[in-house]
This record gives sequence, structure tokens and C-alpha cells, in this order.
Amino acid sequence: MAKLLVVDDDKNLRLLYEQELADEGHEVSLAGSGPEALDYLKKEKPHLIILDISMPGMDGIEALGKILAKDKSMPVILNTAYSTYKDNFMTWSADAYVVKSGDLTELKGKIKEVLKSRGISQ
Amino acid sequence: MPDGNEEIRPRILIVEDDEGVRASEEKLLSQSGFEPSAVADGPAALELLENESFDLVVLDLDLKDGIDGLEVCRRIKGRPQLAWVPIMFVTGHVSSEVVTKVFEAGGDEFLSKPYKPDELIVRARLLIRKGREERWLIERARTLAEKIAERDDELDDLRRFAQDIVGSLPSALLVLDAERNILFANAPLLDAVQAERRDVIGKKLSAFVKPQSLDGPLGRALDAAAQTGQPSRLRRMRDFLAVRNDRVSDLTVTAIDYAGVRQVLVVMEDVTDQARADEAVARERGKLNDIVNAMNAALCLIDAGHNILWKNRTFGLWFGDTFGQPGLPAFLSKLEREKGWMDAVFARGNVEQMAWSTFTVHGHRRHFLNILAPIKPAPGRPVDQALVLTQDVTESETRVEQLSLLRELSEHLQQTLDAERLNHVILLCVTAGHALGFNRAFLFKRNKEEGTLEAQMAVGPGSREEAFRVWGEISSHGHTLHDLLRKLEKPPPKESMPLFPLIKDLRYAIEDSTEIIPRTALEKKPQVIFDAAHDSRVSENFRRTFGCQEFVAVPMIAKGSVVGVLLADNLYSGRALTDDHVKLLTLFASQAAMAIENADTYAELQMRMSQLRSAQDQIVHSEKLAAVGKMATHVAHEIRNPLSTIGGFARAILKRPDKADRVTRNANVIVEEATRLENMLKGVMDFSRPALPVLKQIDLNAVAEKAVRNHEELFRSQRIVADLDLDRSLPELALDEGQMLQVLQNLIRNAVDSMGQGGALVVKTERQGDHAVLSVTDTGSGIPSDVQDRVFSPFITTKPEGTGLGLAVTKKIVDDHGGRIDFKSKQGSGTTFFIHLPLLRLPGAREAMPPAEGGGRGERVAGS
Repeated sequence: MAKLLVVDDDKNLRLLYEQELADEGHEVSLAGSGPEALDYLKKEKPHLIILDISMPGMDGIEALGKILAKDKSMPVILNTAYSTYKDNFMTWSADAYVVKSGDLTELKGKIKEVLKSRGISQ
Repeated sequence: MPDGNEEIRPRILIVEDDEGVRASEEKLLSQSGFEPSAVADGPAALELLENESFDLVVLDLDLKDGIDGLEVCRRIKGRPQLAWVPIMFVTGHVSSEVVTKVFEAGGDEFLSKPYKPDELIVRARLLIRKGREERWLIERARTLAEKIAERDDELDDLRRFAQDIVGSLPSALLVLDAERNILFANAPLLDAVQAERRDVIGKKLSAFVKPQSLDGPLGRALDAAAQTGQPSRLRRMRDFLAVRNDRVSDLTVTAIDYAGVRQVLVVMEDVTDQARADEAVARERGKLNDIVNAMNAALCLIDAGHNILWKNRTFGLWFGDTFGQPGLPAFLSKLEREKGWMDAVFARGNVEQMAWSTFTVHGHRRHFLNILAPIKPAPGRPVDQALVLTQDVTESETRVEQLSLLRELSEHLQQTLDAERLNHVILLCVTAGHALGFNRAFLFKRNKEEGTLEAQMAVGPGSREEAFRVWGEISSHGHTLHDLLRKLEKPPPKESMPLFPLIKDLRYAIEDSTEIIPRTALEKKPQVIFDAAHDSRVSENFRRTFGCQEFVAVPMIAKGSVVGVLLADNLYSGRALTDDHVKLLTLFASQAAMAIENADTYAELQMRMSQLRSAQDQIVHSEKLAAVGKMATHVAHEIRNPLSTIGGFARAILKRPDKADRVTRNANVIVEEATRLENMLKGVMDFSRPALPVLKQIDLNAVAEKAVRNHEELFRSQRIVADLDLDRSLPELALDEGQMLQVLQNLIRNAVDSMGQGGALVVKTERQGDHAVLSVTDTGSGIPSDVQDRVFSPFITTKPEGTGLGLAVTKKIVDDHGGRIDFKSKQGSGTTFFIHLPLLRLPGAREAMPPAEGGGRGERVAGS
């Protein structure tokens, strides 16, 4: 079981990820914005962060930079509605890039993959 | 003289040893009117005569005691003061021998005894008379002698006095005889010739004076005085003495005739100090004159009748020769005409200043500045003289004109887009005024298509005669370039210009470097030719056409490429080309080039305008496509979130349909997201294909109230105080109520979202001129500055759930109403959106509603 942080500005999507990933056996925390996520990281250290890119104010790429600046080893999966962000080199520093979908299979697979590569037991 | 002094009885001394004779004679003489005294012997007589005065002595010849009568007589006559007293001898022995002795002894009369009494009386009277006469004469002679002696003393005094004067005179005196021997010399003269008196007196003057002086005026003056008595005065003589002497003297040479002898008096007056003072004054005056003459300004002194009393050299140079106007120069004539000006100086003592410009006989224009200043008169006297200072300010005027030329030029050129007029302005600038002031100017323009340089226009007089006539007119009218350009409405047809025949059909191939005009363009630098006849750059053809010996051709370069060539010369005035002129012309040419370029560009622009217009339609069309494409992309992305949510929860339901709670919750989320999708779709539809407003006469205030009322629930939940501030006097407007409600709803929602929990919101209506203004003000976070200029663009949002279409749709609606929307926003303190709507009334609509009773502003609608 891993400790996950889901960052997304869409309330219902947060609900979906919370419910689905909890079903997978993860302990899921939620943040509605980049600053909220950074606040959380001051107190907690999740095994993995699932990060939306398109958010008002601080977007996911900016948040990714700030997160990695604090902890380079923090695993991050970018989860976005836009596939175009793949062109931004900043996104390469993430462990994975997943295009949002109602089908969470890909996301769940990437989570497993990243956790495994980081040697975090399920 | 024995006068009639008969009262004084004549005194007679009687000397008689015979007592009886003595007594009788005493008695006789006493009775006959005499006063006799008698003594008996000679010594007594002599003693008495010592002390008393007698008119006659009657003397007995034969006296007994001591001395006889003859001896007594001799003693009496031997005494000067008594010599005049007549002596009458009386004796008894008369002989010729006795008579001789008596007269030899000095006796005067002889009376022999016995004599008759009458005889004695008559003879006594005669003798007394004779004696008195003699005495008077003697006394007179003595007085005269005394007086003569006294006069001699006076003369001695005078002589001494004269000598003292001569001795004390500061001037040197010299008296010469006719042969120029020195008769007299005083001490200063001896000092002057540095010699002792003894070495001077009696010597020749030539020993002490330089020979050349004696040959000169001094010699002539001496001769004149000696020969004709003509006096002379020789002033400021120096260096005429044989000895070294640095003194300066005035000499006076006069003749003096003394005792019939002509002598010459020379007075040397030492005037060295005056001479030095005079020289010093003269030197100072000379310096002043040098300064006044060296001044590069004309100075003259005039009187109230405008006559020139004095002038300096510059004045003469300028107005004597340069202008060929001896006497009163033209500007003074002008002063005479301008009576007020002279009055100001002479009557009121003002200092006046006047500018004046003219052409010299060589056709060079000069500018003068005259300052007329009164000479301060003696107190209480009117001003009768004035100083006229004339400065040649041509150069500074020229500089000023050069500057103003460029200014004028850029002003005119920028306004001038008509090619013909532009050419004319350019050439006028080159020829008129001081700045460049060329006699002739030619403009060649490059024809890019043909590869030629074509003569466009030429400005300047056609002949020397015309040139001078034109300059004269310009001079007398005082036209400046500025005036010319101002007056220039429309250029004359170029065919009518005097130089047109010269340039008709004149063109050069741009590559033809044998011709100076294309060469200027090819080399892109000015060509200054001083001697066209012998300059290899100038072709025979050019010489024939233009006939100028000295000229300058400058390229007109705009943005690095040659647009033409300017050619200018001074064919008529022959004024030499200067560096200044070439530089200025070059500078000018680049300005002119820019103007030509502008005019060409303008012409081209006009041509391109129509092309652009058709192109624009295509662009608008493709922009529309781009907008649609952008919107499609955006919408595709925007719906991914809700679709992911819906899909995710739907799958979750399928996965665990048994968990009722979760199914319900998930189903709710699905419904919510579906609604969101619908709304989004509606917004996209509104924006991409909005309904045109259906206008009715509607009360804007009522719409505002309704919109606020619709959101009471929202205000309460967000703890927001909402106020209405309505202008009840607003008339009804032509509005689509539904669309206007949507506008207000969008603005109110945005306001509430920006305020989060708690704040104040004001919806206000007011009238501003011919518009109604509806505004929505919040106390929220404000619009971030980086999106302020894009708020009305579609798909711009700062809200997590926003579609980015609210304000875009709002603006569309307001535009459709013929209105305008804008906003003021300050980050951290709030935003106000203003909607300006025209106060239009539909045809046949009702009049404005009167303000409602008790209706007013500040109605609190909702609050916490």
C-alpha cells in the first residue's frame, strides 16, 4: 500500500481518483491546486504524486518544478486532458505522463510501474 | 621869473666901510622900496650871505679890512648857491683897469661915486630883476639836474628790474644782432646750450644750433625778423640745438629795434610736458581709431539733419564701395522715411534697433542690424547727434535661416505628398533665402523601371537680367523663404518656369558614369566642380546644356538608395561655393529624398490600398476559420474533464453495483458533470451562433432588480451584501430582457466568485449624457493584470470550473445592443464592470417613466 497525493482542480475528478485508487488499496490524499499540494508536502511525504497540469493560478508544470526543487526523488505522474504538454521539456522530468480518461486502467498501471521502479512495495 | 611880487621888498646887502655912506645908502634904498641890510666889511658880508638870502649886493670896491671888494665878489660868485646874486660895485676911482678887474671878478654893475640916487635905484632894480631871472634859471637848471639824476636812478631800478625778470624767466631768451651774433642770453638759455655766459655772448648763433636747423624754418624765421621785422612762431621744435637735448620748445622770433638798431629776440618756451601729453592723447586716440576702424561694424555719427559727421573705415568700405552709394547709405534714407524711428532717437532719446537687408552690386545678399543711439547732450540741451552702429549679421542670419530652412522643410515636406508641389518646394528651398540661396537648382529623379535619371523641374531666373530684377524685387519686399513657402499655394506649371526649355526631355541612363548626374547617383556622394571647362568629370554635353563653370551635384538618398540628384549653381552672381553650402545642401538633399520617398510611398500606398481591401476579406474569412478551430480544440479539451469524470464513475458503478451508497453518490456526480457539459455546450452555442436580441422598451432598473433577486440565495450562502443603486429617472430602453438578464447574471456570478466568502456587491444604474450606465461593483480579488487585456476573449478564465465564455458572451450581447462594456479593476480591492447602453427608443414606444414615488437608491436586497 502506498501513500498517494492527487492534485486536480476538478472536484469530481478528485472524488473519482480518491474512490478508485482507495479501491486499489492506496492511502489517497487530495489537493485542489498547486499551492495546496505544496502546503501538504510540507507536512507529509507521499510515495507518489498524481498531478493535473491545467489548473488556474499555479499550473501543474510550475508545481512540478517546485516539488522537484524540494525533493528531486519525489515520483510524479502527470495526469492531464491535454496531450500537447508532452512537448514541454519540463514534463520529461515527471516519471510518467497520462492523458486523462474515464478509464483509469492506464493510470493505475503507471502507478504500479512507478512504485515498483522506486522499490515501493505494494 | 620875477613876477609882480612887489609886496616882497627886495633885500639888498650893503657892504661899505664908510659908516656915513653906509647909512645914507641904507636910508635911500629903504625909502625906495627895498629892504637893505648893511655890513662894514667882506667877512661880515660873506657870513650874512651864508645865512640870509639877498637879491642884490652893493659892494664897496675899496674895503679896508682884510679882503677888498674884488675878493668878496670872487668868493660870492665862487659859491654856487650865491653865484646868481648880482653884485654892484661902488667906487670913487674909476679906471678901465678897475672896470676890467670888476667884471673879471664877476661883478655885474659898476657905479662910480658920487652917483645920483636915481642911478643907484634904477640900476639896483635892473640888477635885482636880472639876478632874479638868473636865479630862477639856475634853480631851474639845478632842479632839472636833480631830476635828471633821479631819473637816472629810476632807470637803474628799471634796468635791474628788467634784468631780474629776464633772469627769472623760465623761457630761454636770446638776443641776436643782424649777423646772428649773440648779444644776450639768459640763464635758461645757457642751461639749454650747456655753456657759460662768457662762452656765449658775442659768439655766432651757428655755434650752438644744428646747421640743418638754420637752413630750415628757424633760419627763415631769423631772416624774416632781421630783414622785415616779421615775427614768427615755430611750434614743437625739437632737436635743433647742437647739444643733445630731448626737450621740446615753441620758439618766438621777433625783431626789436633799439636805438635804431635791428636786433632779433628769440624766446624758447619749454613745452615738453604739453608735447608729451599731446602725444599721449594722440596715441590713445590713434589706438581708439585703430579699434574703431578695425571693428567689423560700420560706425557713423549723424546729426539731427541726418548728415554724416564722421564715419569709420568699415563704413566707408561697406557703403562707399560695396554698394556704390557714396553719401547717405540706403538704410539711412530708409531711416529718413521712417520718421517715427528718427524721432524716437532725436526727440525722445531712445536707443533704436532696425534690421535691414539688401543685395550688393554683386548680387550678394547682406543682412545688417542697425543700432541708433543718441549721444548724450549737455544738460538741458536736445539730442543733436546720434551714433549709428551697423553690424553685418549676414552670417548669423544665414545660420538661423539654415536651421529654419531644415525645420521649414521638414514641416512642408511632411505635408507635401503631391509630387509636383514637392519638387517645387525642394527647389525653392535651394534657391530662395540665405540658407542655400543658389541661383539655379535642378531636380533629377530616378526612374527605377526605365533605369534613368530624369529632369523633373528647374527653378531660377532664365538670365542674368532677370536674376537681378527678381532679386531687386525680393530685396525690396523683404520676402523670406518662409513667406515664399507660406504663399505658395500651388506651383506654377513647370512648363512655364524660365529654365524649363533647358531640362525638357533631359534624361541620363543611370549607369552612364561619363555624365556627372548619374555619376553622383552611382558614387552616392556630392560632386563639387570648380572649373567645369577643365574637369574631366564634366562632359561637353553638360557644359553646353548648363553653361555653368562652378556647381555642385548632390545625391538624394533615402533609406540607402538614390531617389534622385540635386544640381545647383550660382551662374549669375558668381558667388563661390563653400564647404558650408555643400554640407548643408547634402543634408538638405537627404531630407528632400525622404520626402520624395514618402510621396512615392504614399502614391504606392494608395495603389496598394485597393489590393489590400480585397485581401482583407480573405484574411477575415481565414481568421474566422482559425477562431472556429481554436474553439473546437478548446471545447474538445474542456469536455475531457467532465467526460473522464462521467466515464470513471460510470465504470465504478459497473464495477461495484452492489454498493448502493457509492452508486448513488457516483450517479449524482455523473448527473452534475452532464449538466456541466450541457452548460458548456450552451455557452459555445451562444457565442458561436448567438441569437440576435429581440428589442422591446424595457425598464433597465427592473431588469437589475430581477437579476439581483435571482441571486439572493447565492448572496446569502456566500455572506455577500448586495445593494441596488438605481436612477429612477432613466427612461425605458430598447433591450432584449433575457439577454440583459444573462449579462447581469454573468457579471454577478463573476463578482461573487471573485469575492469568495464575504463581500459587498453593488448594482447601479445612472445616466451619463445620451447613455444609461449599468455597473456591477464587487470587493473581490480583482482581475490579474496579465489577463486584463484578454478578459473579453473567449476561453479565458481564472475559475476552476469556468468555461471562459461568460464575458465573451456578455460582450457580444452588449455589442448587439449598440452598447459598450469596460471595467476598472484593482487587484486585491475589487472590480467594476460598466455597461454603456444608448438611450434609444423604439418607434412608437412610451415616454420615459416618471421617477417612482418613494423609489430610490440604496435598497438592500440581501445580506447576511
